[in-house]
Amino acid sequence: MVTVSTDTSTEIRLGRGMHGLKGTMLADPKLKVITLFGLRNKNINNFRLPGRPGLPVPTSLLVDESGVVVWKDQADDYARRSDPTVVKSALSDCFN
Amino acid sequence: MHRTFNYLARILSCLFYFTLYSFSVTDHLRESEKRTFGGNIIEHMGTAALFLALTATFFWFRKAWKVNLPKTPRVFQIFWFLSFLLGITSTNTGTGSAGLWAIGVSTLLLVLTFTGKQKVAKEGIGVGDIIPEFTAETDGKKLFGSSDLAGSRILIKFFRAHW
Repeated sequence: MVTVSTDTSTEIRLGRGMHGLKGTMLADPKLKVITLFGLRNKNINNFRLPGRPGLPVPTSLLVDESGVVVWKDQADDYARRSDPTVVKSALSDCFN
Repeated sequence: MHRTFNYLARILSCLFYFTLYSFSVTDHLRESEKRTFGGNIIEHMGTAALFLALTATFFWFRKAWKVNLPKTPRVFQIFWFLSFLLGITSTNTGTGSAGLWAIGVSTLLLVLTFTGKQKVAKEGIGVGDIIPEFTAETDGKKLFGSSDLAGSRILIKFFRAHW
């Protein structure tokens, strides 16, 4: 698993234990990767904080061996997240 | 933009009329409770408003923590709106700051839930697309790129930040 967030690498290192994540965690405070994927939030709740030009829309992607997106889950409200059971079910369906 | 101003004008005019109305309601309540209860209902209206706002807020954040928010926040918004109205009514009595806190809490949560919708550009990545080439820094300050994912099945999660 790879995560991408607007945290800096230092913030990720300090906060890694908070959510129990063990995958590769990438820092994208300038939203370069997020913009490449077209996942920047374009709505008014796109809080611009000092040093951060915006925020992404929380999104989960399953990518196969050839780099093709085979599944996508995206919340339409910032307060909602992909349910872990939904992600597990997609993993099972897409990758057996 | 025109539509936003239109909605804003309607909301402000509603609040204006409600404030005028609540003054008359408060005066009426004050008179009637003097006759029946000896003057206690209005004294606790602000506290009741704050209790309502905080209870709805507690259950909202508890559901958020459990990643179990309802598909629509309408029920919670009704409670916050009721708390807001009770808060405004209570402020006319000049009894304590609980009503003002209720107005503050309920307004904040109403704004947060009404502006919760997100949208991405139409050209955002979708099923069937090939992921773009990218590089980014890991928490160990090493560069990690899309080439490191070649030949792997991978779950990529984008999230806002640790907060």
